[in-house]
Amino acid sequence: MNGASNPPVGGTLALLGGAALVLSTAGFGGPNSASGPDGAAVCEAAPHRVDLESTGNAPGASGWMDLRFGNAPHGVAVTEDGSYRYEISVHVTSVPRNRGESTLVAWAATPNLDRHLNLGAVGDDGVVEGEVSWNKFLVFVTAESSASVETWQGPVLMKATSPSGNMHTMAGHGIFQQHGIGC
Amino acid sequence: MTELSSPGRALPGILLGLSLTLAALAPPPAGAQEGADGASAAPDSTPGMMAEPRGGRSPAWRMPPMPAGMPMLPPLKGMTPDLGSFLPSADDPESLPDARYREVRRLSDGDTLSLEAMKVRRTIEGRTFTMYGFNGQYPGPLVEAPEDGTIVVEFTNELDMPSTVHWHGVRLDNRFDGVPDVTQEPVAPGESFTYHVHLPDPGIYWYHPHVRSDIQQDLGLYGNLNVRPPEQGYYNPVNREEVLILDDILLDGKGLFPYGRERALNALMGRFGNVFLVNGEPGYELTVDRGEVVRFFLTNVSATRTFNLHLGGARMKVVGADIGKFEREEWTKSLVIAPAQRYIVEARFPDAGTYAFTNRVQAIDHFAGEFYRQVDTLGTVSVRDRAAEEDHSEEFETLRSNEDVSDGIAPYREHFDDPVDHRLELTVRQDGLPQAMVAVMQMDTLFRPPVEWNDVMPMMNYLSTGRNVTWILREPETGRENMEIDWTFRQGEVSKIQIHNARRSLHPMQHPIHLHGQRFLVLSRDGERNGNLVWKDTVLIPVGSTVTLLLDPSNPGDWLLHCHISEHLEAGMKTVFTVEPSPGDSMRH
Repeated sequence: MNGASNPPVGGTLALLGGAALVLSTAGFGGPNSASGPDGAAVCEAAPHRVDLESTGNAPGASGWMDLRFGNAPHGVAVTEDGSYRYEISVHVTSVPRNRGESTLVAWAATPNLDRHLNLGAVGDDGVVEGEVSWNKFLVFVTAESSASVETWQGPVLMKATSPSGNMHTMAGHGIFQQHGIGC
Repeated sequence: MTELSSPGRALPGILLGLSLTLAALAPPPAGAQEGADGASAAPDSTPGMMAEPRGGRSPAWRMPPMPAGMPMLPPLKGMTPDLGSFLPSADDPESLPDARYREVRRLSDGDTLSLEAMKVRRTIEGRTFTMYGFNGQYPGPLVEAPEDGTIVVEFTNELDMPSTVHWHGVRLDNRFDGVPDVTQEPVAPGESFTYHVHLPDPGIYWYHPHVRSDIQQDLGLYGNLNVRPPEQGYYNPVNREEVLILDDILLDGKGLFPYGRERALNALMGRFGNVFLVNGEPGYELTVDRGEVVRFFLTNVSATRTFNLHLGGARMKVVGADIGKFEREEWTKSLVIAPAQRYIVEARFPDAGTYAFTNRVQAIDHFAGEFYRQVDTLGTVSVRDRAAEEDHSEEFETLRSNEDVSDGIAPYREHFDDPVDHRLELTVRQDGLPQAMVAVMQMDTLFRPPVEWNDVMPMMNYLSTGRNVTWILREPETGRENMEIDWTFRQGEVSKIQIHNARRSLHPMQHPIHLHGQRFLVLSRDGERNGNLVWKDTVLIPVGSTVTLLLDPSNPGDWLLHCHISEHLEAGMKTVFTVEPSPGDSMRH
C-alpha cells in the first residue's frame, strides 16, 4: 500500500499516453486493523476506514477513505434532519496513469446518484478532504480535465461505499422467504 | 402491528454464509419462555443490584408494540422474556393521589426539602395509570438553589421496593450520592434517609433513584435541580426560561407495558417509549411574544432514547451542558442529547406563528436495509404577533466567549497531552438469547449504526433481558470487566481516561457513560481534539468512537461509573472507582 520513494499522486498529472504507470505516495499509513485478543478493535482513533476498489478503468489503483464524525458542540454531528455529518478524507495511494485526463477528482454521491458532491481534486499528497451529510453514499475518484467540473465526465477509477452501504436487506433472509419474498 | 405468519416448517438453507438450522425453530432454549405468563423465573439475589419489587401485578406477557409495517421474525412469535413481569398496583387505586404538575421550590442555603417517593394516579393521553412520583408530582419538584449552598433533603420511601436518591452531576459528599450498597444502604419501604446536598457548581442537574431505575425512573421518579450562580450576567439576558425534562413512555392497548420483575427487560437496546413526554406530559405548549429569546434548560431522563431536537427552524445557541457553560457559545440547527445529559440552549422566535418542537432522526429499516426519516413532535411554541417587551436580539446574535470558563480550565491544559492512564472498551455478551435472534444479529454485522435512534427490533429487544445479556465495561490491559475493574485516583491529581465503543460485538450500541461525583473534560473524539470545552459528567460514545476524558477527581470516596441507559446499567455495565483523599489541600480547589 505504501510507497517509499515514488512521486506523489494527484494534482495535475503529466500526460502520459500509452503505457500504464503506477504512481504511489509516501508518508501515510494503510488501513488500521489493530485488534485486541478477542478480535475487538482497540483503537486510539477509530474512523471508519474503507478501501477504495479499483475499476476496470484503472486496474491496480488503490487507496482508501476515512470517515469520522464532524465537529459538534453536543458530540454527535448530525444535520437538523438527523443525517450523520461525516468528515471524509480520500487517500489515493496509487493509480495507473495511461490516459489523457489530467486531474483526479473525488466525488460523493447518493446511492441512486440523484445528488452528488465534488469533494475536490486529489492533492499532491494524495489526499482530498470534505464533508458529507448523507447516511448512505458512494465515494469515487474520476480522471477529469479540470478540478472544477460540476459533474464527472471522465472515467471512474476507484470507488467505495459508505459502511452503511453494507446494511443487509433482511427481506432476502431465508426465514422471510416463506412469505412470498423471493422466488 | 404487522406480523408474518408462523413458520411451522424448515428454514430454506444458507444465506450469506450463515446456516440457519432447524434449531432456530426449535423450542426456545432455557433463556426465553414460550407462551408463559412470565411468573416462573427464579428471583436473583445479586447484592445491591437487582432489587425485586414486591407486590405489584404480574400481568401475562404480551407482544410489545411494533411500528406499523414492521415484520417479526416468525421463530420468535409467541416467545416471552425469561423473567416475571411487573407493573405497580394498589389495593385501592382510587385512593392514590392524582399526580399534579411539578412545583418550583426555591431554596436557600441550609433549607430543607421533604421528598417522598410514592405511588400516584397519573393520566397520560386520557388514560389513567398507577405510577410513581416524588411528592405526588410529575416531574418531581423543580428545586432552585444557590451555588455553593447546601440543601437538606429528607427522603422517605413509600414504594414497594427499596430506593435511593442520586443527585446526578453534583459533586457532593460521597455518602449522599445515593448508590445502594456503595454509598448507602438502600432505603427500605417505609424508611427514610437524609441527604445533605452541597452544590459547588452552577448549572442544571437532576435527581432520580439508583435502584431499578429501569422501573422507578421510568415510572416518574425524576426532577431537576437548577443551581443558580450568584453573579448577574452569568447567563445572557433572555425573556424567559423554560426547564424541560424530556422522556418517553411505552404504552399499548392494555396500558403501561410491563417491566421485568427480577431483572430489566429490553436489555439490548433499552426501553424505548412510544409516547413522548415533556415535563411528564405529551404535547408541550409554550406561548411567547414575537422576538422573544428563551433559555431552555434541557434534561433527557428517558431510559435509552437519544434525541435530535429541532425547534421549528428557530436559531438555537448552545450555551452550556452538564456542568456549566461552554468556553464559547455556538450556533446549532439541532441538538443531540443522550440519556442523563443536560444542555442549556437559547432560542429566538423572530416571527409570529408556530414552531414545532420535534425529534428528527434517521431511523433504520433493517428489513429494507434503508434509513428513513422519522419526526416525532414533542410540542409547539406559539408566537403571538406582538413584540416582546424587552428586545434581547442583539445579545442573542452575539456568540459569547466565556473567559471565566476558559480561565477555570487553564490550569488543566498542561495535562492535555499526558499519556492515557486508564482505558475502557465497551462491549456486550449474550448467553441464552433465542438462537434465531442471535442468527439474525450475527448476519447484520457489516454496518453498525453509530446511534440507535429508535427501537428497530422491538420483539428482539423484548426478549433480551438482564439474564441473557450482559453489557460490559472492559479494561483491555487487564481483561477485567465491570465490578472487577479496580481504579484508584487521588483527589486533585487529574487522570486521562480513554473509552472505546467497540463495533465488533453481537449488538453494539451507543453508551452515555456517566461518572458519579466528579467532572471531566472531553478532550478528544476519535483523535480529534475538542476545541470548545465544557465540564461534563455524562459523555455519549457512538458505536465505533473513542473519547478521551480528563478526569478531575475532586471528591474522595467510592463512586460509580456506568452506562446511563437504564437497562444497560441493570445488565451489568458499571464499575466502582475510588478517589483517595489528598494528603494536603486539593491542587484544584
